[in-house]
Amino acid sequence: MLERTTLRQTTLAGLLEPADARPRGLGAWIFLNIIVLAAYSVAGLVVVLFGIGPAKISPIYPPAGIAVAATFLLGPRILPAVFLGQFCNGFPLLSLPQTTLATYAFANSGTGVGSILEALIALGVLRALTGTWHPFDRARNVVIFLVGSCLLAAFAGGTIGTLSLWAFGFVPNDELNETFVTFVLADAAGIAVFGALILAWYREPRLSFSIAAHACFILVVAAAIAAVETWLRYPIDYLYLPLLLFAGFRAGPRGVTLAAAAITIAAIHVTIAGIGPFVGKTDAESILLLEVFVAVITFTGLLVVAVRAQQLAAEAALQAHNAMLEQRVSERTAEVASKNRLLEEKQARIDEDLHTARILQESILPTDFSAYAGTGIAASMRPALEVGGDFYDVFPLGRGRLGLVIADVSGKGMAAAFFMAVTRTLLRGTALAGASLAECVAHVNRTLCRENPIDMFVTALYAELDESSGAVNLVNAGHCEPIVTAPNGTARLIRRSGNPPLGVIEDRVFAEHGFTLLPGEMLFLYTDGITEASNRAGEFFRIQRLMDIAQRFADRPPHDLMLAVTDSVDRFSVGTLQADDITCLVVRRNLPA
Amino acid sequence: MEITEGRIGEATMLRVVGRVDGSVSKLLEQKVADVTAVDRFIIIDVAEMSYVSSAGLRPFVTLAKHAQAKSRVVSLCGMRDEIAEIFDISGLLGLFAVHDTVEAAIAALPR
Repeated sequence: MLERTTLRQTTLAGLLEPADARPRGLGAWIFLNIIVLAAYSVAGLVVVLFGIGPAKISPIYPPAGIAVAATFLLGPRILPAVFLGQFCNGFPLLSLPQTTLATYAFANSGTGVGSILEALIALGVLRALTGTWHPFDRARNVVIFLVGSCLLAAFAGGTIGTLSLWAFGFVPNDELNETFVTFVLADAAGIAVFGALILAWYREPRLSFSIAAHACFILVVAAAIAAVETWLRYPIDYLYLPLLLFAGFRAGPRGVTLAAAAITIAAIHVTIAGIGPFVGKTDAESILLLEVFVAVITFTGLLVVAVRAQQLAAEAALQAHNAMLEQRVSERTAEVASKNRLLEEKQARIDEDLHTARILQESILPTDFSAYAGTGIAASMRPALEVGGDFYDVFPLGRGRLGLVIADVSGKGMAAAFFMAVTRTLLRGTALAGASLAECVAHVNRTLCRENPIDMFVTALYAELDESSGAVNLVNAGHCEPIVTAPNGTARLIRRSGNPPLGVIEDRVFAEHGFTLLPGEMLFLYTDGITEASNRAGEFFRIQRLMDIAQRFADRPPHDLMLAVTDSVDRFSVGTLQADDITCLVVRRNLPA
Repeated sequence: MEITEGRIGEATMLRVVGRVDGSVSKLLEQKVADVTAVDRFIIIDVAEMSYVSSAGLRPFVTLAKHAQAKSRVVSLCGMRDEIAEIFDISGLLGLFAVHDTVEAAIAALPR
């Protein structure tokens, strides 16, 4: 904005750019000049008719306002009308006895040139300092308009006008000062009141009912105040102030300029009648007092609308900013919502996959052991997460032998579950292919070592039970030591024999261990999810508790022992998060029927 | 359990003190993974290791696997008899160089 203004100042044409810079033909210009000339002359006539004192001088010279407004709106090409209007407005001088056609022509050419200069300075100053052609938007512009376009311009016009009148004998030497001051102030007031009035109504030409009603109200109230003042002869001019403020706040520049004009006319009218606070000892004093009043009214009124306009502009900017912010927020919210939806969909897919994996994992763990007539079997596996890394297995090896497996893959979750499935399938397949116990475990170990890209391993115990003799052969590859219970309520641990977990050392020979499971004895296989279940105090379940339960349930069915253990672990670790998979497999050699 | 880390010449030394069970095995596993990632010689002083559970053995298995894969030399020293027995029956003793003292472990390092 400021840069544009600076650019515009660089040329004279830019400085004098009017509000309406449309190109026009000669005819149009002649027509517009005639219109302005008519308005100028009528306004001049009004001044002459209603002037104060015998000299018919006025505290306000409306033609100056018309000239400046016309120049603001139409540019320098309207100045012929201004010159001609001012030239003609001197006609009362013709009645003076000393006037000749030559002195009249010279003196009034001077005042005409003064008027032209006045209009040019008024427009140039405002354009140069504000970049706009009206003072209604900013308080700063109001000051520039009143000081530059009114006072400074009127000073120039008044100086030239007074000097030319004086030079040709129309102003006596002793009245020179007074004439000069009156000339300047009346022109300034004319521009400030009537110039601003025309600019304001040109700027907003649409006549709504509201503005019409406000305008009528303003005129009626101004007239009413003047009438009351005339009637009661009280100096109640301060009542104009609320009217002015009302006009500014409710009807903007149009209202305020109309109010200022109405108040000025009303104040002049009342003063002419010799009433009110502006009646001085001399006409000149009255005029000066009126000038000051007009200046205060105009300044106050224009300032009110300018500040109000700035406030409205700030509010509009704030509103636009808020709307933009809200728009941004709603866009971001929508974005986040759509991302969340995607995440939720993704999570739902993962959950579904995990659920499927769990069902699949559960389905490979045997649960129906009714085929093994001489052996009671119970088993359970409860993963800490959706899927686990523990597993057990029971399968017939032929010739009355049973394969029993319990294992615990390092780690948890999907990787462990996958490794568990691989190990279980590999072990069962190798065992069913007829390999011996140690060979089978060594083969599984080798395969797991070779096909194991991530550092996983599995502790496992693989046992073969001869259902008829009770002979048990087992390989314990780094797994928990199993418990054997006897019906008389004793329990013992089957010690490990130095085999490392599977998937650690590739070329490893695994040692077997053999014993006999007597009728009624139970083999209890478990994972460390049981012995290392912890309670809220951070204590572990420990092997000792497990041994105690095993002893107490030694003469009960395998299923009872299994439930006793899992229930006991649950009670022990109540209020804590299950940290590891909990798995056990109980095998009892039934007593002969 | 407490783990302190130090250096002796080219070797990194870890001192494991207290009970090693499921509640600390993750921590120990992370520590040994960090150490085996950069150091060629690792000496673990377990003289003050009072107890090791089944889950507590897992970090040692992982350590052994890392050491194997990256050709690291891992020495355990000052191991108490009962701990040594657990390592032995779990098949893990053979995975490490075992020494009575830290000095012996240092002396055994390849020059």
